[in-house]
Amino acid sequence: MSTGAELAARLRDRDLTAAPAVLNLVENRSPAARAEIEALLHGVSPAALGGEAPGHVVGVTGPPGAGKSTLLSALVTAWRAAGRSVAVLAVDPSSKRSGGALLGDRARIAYDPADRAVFIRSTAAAGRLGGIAPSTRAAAAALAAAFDVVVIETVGVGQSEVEVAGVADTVAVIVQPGSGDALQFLKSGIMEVPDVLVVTKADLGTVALRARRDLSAALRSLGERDTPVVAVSSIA
Amino acid sequence: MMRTYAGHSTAEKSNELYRSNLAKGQTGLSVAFDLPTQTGYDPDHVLAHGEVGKVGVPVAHAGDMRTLMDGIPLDEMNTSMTINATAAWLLALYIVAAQEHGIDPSQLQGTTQNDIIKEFLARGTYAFPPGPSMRLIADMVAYTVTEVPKWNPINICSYHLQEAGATPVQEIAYAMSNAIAVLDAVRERVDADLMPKVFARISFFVNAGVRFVEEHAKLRAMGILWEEIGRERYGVTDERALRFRYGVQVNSLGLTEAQPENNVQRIVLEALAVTLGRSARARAVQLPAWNEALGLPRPWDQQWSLRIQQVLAYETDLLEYPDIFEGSKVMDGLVDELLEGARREMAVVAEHGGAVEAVSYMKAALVDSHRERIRRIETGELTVVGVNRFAQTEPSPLASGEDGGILVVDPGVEAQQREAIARWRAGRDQAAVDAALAELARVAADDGENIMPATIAAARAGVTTGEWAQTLRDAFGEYRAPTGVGEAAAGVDEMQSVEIDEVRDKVEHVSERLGRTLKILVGKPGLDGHSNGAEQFAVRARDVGMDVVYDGIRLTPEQIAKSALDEGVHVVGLSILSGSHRELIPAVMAALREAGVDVPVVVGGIIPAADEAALREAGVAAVYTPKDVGFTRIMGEVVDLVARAHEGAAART
Repeated sequence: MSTGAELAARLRDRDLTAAPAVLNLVENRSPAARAEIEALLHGVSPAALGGEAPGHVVGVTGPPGAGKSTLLSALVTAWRAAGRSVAVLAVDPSSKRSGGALLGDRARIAYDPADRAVFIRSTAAAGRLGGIAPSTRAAAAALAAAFDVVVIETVGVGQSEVEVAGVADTVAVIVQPGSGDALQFLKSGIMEVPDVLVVTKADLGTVALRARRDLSAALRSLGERDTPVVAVSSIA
Repeated sequence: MMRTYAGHSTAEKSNELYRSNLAKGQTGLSVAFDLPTQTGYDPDHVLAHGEVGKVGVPVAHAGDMRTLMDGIPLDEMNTSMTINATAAWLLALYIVAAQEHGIDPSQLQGTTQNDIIKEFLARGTYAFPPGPSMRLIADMVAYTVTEVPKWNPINICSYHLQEAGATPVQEIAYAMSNAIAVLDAVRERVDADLMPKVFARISFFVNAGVRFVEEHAKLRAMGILWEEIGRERYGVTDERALRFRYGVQVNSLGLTEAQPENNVQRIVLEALAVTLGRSARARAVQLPAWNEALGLPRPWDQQWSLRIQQVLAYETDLLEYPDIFEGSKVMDGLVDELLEGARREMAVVAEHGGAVEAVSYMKAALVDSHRERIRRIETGELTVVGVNRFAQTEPSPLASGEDGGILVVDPGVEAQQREAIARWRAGRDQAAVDAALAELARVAADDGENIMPATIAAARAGVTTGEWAQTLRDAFGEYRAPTGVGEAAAGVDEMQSVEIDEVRDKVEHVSERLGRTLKILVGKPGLDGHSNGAEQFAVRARDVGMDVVYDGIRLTPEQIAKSALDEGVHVVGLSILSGSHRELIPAVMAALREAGVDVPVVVGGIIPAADEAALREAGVAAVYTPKDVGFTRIMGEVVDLVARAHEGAAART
């Protein structure tokens, strides 16, 4: 086990190759790891960094099948093209009934495996949809010291963005056209207003247009005129 | 019609094989292509490494097709090609080869498999996303119905669904739903009066398992449903056009590595399933070889399979009677039961919006069914002779020859093919190639235009398989199919057993020592799309409490190493069935070392006993083959490996 102080030093030097070891440490639940995690977090605190962490933490959340992975893939490609390093922390909602979890879909994010400036780690959610494991909070805080962008991907709608909002600088909620969940949650106040609403599958035409229009109307009625609603398509 | 599925190494070698098979009394050709050809990569592409000439013949351009068909009368031959994502391309090469001999495409007879939905569900050799893939199929059907009218442009495959674990009801329902998706797509591209003709060109490729009475009922049920769909959905009235036409390859899933000679009687019984009753008899039969679970069959093994058919057809009285089940209450009852189940399942697929939209649903259902099958074998509910009962055996003289009873492809083939394609590219008119590819790109971007003319022109201009496919990948986008494992229900209830509980406890215990949950990466390197084993391994690992990273098929060694590193896994499991393990496993081991990942690696798949030592030498900790029943036991061993590696590392620090 690498020590927390060592890892923090590497992160402060913006050594991206420290990322796997950082995650191995923050996910470690043994009593011996606790002090090391504290040392790590201390070493990347604003005090140690001499200011806020340089990385921007983005929360991406939405229901299964809404197109999060496809969107993330495009975002990673665009960020890399702009020369920005990216860490993705994918929180997977897989069943924990047997104690195990099937994590995956990292392959849906296209990137060059030789590129050390892209880091993707999947973590099993501790039991509930949209929840963020304590290790994810710690990982985001630590990696933001070295990576330009840190993405936390969670699954769910209605509650998930609340927890993500506590960690992320920007929260994007992904909405699939034709499913009224996000709209209902927004109207009823269950869902906190995110920074950006993204309507996927814009190529579906009318149904996507309507989703975008309805969300904009709901935001206006909540007095949140400035929250952008963006429509995207993987085809066009 | 009698065929054996054949092709390997190079076009010359395969041509020799075809000629000798025809001389032995085979009445048609069944071409097996290698995985790079099936997935649209040239032999010198990074993903082709280890796969060139392995499970079939590499055909990279018109010159290869010319060599493959040399001396074979294409105007008389009936050629079946097992080709899907790149079917339009291979048909174009075949048309060009025929035209070079002055044969008009209207004389060509044969079949392109061309069923992409089952590639997403089971076989894995897809290249493009579902939408554009369906367009290519519809284009081919629309083109051949007037230009190559004796060609069967698509063979709807239920075969691979059974291999992936489908129950008879699922096999019927998904195949019929798939056919409906294709016909609906074609309906938008041809004149309405051509639809009966289109309907009549759709044929099926089915499976037959060893429960041969039920399997026969399944085929009768498919015939009834098909006629119904033709009449009701597509307004077909011509009796001949309504006939359910199918070819068959009998079951490979049930063939065993243990006591492989028993596979011969399994194959004979399965052949009966598709021939017993005349009203549901197969039009073309191909039988697997007895040693498929061991490795690639040799010519003699294939001859044996052909002889089985010849004995059935020419010695027995099988073909002399009208339908022997007519009026049988038992058979009719069985058929009704299957029909009822299939109609119900078809309705579920329709609710999802049809077969294309329901791919994720069907995939998860198949992974679940397959897991149930494995559970029944493990618990002994389902008897597999020589595997979970009567396992004691005398040594088999069949598999103990010098070659281990299988065919080994010369490892020099890949280098030869890489050089050959470089020569081909250097020797052609590059301006003509560029123009042909530009035209192909233009047509690909225009959904309203048929892809075939531009594809045939590209074949004639000397374009390669990889170039054709890359042009379409650029136009259509890359795609990864759902793995089905995430959705597969945990089924905790039926998974309760003492053995599972023991392994779960062990996982928990080791996880505690590791500080976090034992994490495993399940990887499928290379182009092999046979993912059933990897999926079942992943699901079982989850069921015993591990965190499992499974990214699906077709990964490079570098991608696997990157996943292992980023994900911080404690162990890696690799699965390969295409025979490319000798090249790919050492490549993955090297990539892991390069990435600084030092964890145990286990390998599963069709690994001949002779290759095990070499894999261990490359650093592999354990090798599992089809004879290793008991996923739970294997999981237990994997946990032990992790525990030992952890203790070793702790002792070093």
